[in-house]
Amino acid sequence: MLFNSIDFAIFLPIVFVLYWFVFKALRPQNILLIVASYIFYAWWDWRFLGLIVTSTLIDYAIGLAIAKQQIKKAKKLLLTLSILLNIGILGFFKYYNFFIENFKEAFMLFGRELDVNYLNIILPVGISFYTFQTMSYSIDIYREKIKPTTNLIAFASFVCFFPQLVAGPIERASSFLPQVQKRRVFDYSKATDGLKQILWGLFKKMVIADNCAVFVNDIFENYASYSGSTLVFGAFLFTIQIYCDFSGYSDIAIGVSRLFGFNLKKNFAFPYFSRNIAEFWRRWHISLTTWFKDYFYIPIGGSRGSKWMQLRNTFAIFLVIGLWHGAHWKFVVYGLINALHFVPYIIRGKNTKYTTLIAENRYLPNTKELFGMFHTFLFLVFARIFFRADSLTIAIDYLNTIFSRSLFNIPIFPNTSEALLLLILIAFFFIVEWFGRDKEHALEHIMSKSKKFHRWAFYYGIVFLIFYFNGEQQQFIYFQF
Amino acid sequence: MKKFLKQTCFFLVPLIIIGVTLEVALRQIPNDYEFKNSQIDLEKEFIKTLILGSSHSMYGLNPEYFTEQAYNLGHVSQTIDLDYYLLEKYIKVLPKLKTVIVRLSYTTMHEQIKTGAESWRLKDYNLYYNLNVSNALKYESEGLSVKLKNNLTRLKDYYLDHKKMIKVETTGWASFEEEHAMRSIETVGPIIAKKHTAKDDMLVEENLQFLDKLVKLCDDEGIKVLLVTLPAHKSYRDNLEKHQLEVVVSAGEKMKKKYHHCRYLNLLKDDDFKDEDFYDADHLNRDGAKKLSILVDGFISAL
Repeated sequence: MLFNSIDFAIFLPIVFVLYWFVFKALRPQNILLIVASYIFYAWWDWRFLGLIVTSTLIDYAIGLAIAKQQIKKAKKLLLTLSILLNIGILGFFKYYNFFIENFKEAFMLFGRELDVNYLNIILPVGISFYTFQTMSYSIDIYREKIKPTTNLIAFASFVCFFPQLVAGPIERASSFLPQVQKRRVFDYSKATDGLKQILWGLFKKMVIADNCAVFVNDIFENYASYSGSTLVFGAFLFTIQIYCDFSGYSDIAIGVSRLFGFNLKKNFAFPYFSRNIAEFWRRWHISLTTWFKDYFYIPIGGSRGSKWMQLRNTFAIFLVIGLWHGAHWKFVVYGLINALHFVPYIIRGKNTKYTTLIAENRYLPNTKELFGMFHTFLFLVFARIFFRADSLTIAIDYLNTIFSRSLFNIPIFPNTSEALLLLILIAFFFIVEWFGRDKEHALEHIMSKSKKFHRWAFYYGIVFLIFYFNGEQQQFIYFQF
Repeated sequence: MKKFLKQTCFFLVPLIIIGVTLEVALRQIPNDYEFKNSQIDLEKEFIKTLILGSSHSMYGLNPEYFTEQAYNLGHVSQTIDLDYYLLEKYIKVLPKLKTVIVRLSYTTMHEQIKTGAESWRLKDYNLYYNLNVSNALKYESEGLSVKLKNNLTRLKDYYLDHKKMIKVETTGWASFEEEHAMRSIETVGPIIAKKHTAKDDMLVEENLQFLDKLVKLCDDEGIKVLLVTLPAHKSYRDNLEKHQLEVVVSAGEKMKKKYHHCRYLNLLKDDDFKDEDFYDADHLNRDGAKKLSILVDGFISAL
């Protein structure tokens, strides 16, 4: 079920009413959440429900076993089992064909043929998100950061909670399980704020991302017939599209959760207002980057040790972040380019420089901040070509065409008036995000002190824009991961 | 909670009222689907030839030039699955039906309307042909399936500008109103060919099954099926991908071999069709449609 579908517009109020008016006690509410989440997931493909149930049961049982076990070695063995099973499921569905392809090619180099067949595997939606969530639960128990829950219903609710099941934010048991195990109380301001966040998420997805997609798809599919300048425009739009698509999803997920009395982790902190690449990665897909930081980067050494060790660890984390996105060399290259961009900051010790808000207590950024934002954004526009292109070869071709004489041609868009209109909408979007950059989400405080009439007029305006400009319904980009 | 529900309802009520009003107003606008559905109902006792397919056949086969009464049930972007559903519905109510003509274009085996940008048209089959071609709720509504921007234009065209909304003639055929410059056809041909080239063969098997079911349905009733690959402009056909084209042609040949009442006519490269017969790279104009209709009618008569 897509958040931007009629099906969800019907599903959500039904679950909401049942949740607050029919199943008022904690346990029935949690059971309702599980049933609703399974229905939500089965709307795509019921066949993969078994995987979620399996993942839930494995980590529930292993979590209990780890806590019960007194011998350190046995605890470690159980944790390894949990990781192997989770990574095994993920690896099979996501990376099997990738590794077979590369093994075959490697064997060919030595003049031998590897006789293994490819499998016709469909990637289950959300697998990269919920396996990471369950894995972190077992690791945290092993590290004695949390105690395992004996309540299977609560644990299953934590794993399959429908707003964040298929594309995050990837929640941690330490923050989410206590919420599942405690009776939720309806909070008016939290719920209305949730609705505002949903509204802004829908705007980002349906107006900005889906309309960008029309141009992006056309330009990337027919890149050979466009000038370098048009290709830059395509890459620019993709940079906007991917942010609005994914952060739009996160906004809706967080907003929906608030309607049910839950607080999810902030997943995006206005990343395009970052002054360098290090700040960007602290603000982009926060739940994933902190996951890798806690469970991969720090265990391999993190920022401890020499500069060389730091660089090695930085390259390693970007390599796995790249691969997390998909079984493709283009994602590996995307990760490595980001790591390379990090190098000068690590060497000069400036990778932790910007931890405060940009243009704090000011309306506008200063020249240095503006330059930093522009430089970071421009880097992302080019790096994301590797992310969007169908293959590494196409990405290189795309870049080659950009850096040709046609870069100085006037860009030709498939539809000039629509392109201009889209640019106006993007400008509006950036203005709203800029003024909400110190908040949880862009609409949190905008118009909040205005009269109800003006406030509602503003919200109606956004609703109108959503219906007026909603593009051809596109799948959320991160569903494929 | 009460306050929340009250405020949410107050906010939503005007939106729902506007939405329902728009829906009612949109459904009052005459359209080709509703028109063809009622027209075929009027002529059901007399129709002997039924033409199915996309814009290629809707613009390319004019029933006026057929010896026996024909009806063109083609629509823009109508794919083989929809051809099948329409035939399944009408075969029961057309007592004199003798021949069914199905276009077998370059895209026929590789596309379905539900997967493309024209998927919004599914609502027309649900709403005006009373077919159940999609379970998605948005295709049960005019307002929810098409963006507001386009719907407002339609409302303005009909209610304010009083424009003619039915584009087809009583025979179901339609023609383009203006002519394209030949130079633009030459330029557009390769672009359209590329646009029509599928990324993979994912839908081939399913579409082949639809085609097979469609031909079988006719064959069982003793109705002749003529599969036609329509003529296309050189700039288009020279840029088609070989494999995709082979899939279509072999599907036509396979059906011809398998079913006694099925014939396949491949006119893609027919030299009789000159530049002046085309509206654009893959559609015939009025004159081209006349030429093709006479040719196909002759072929049917000789069967």
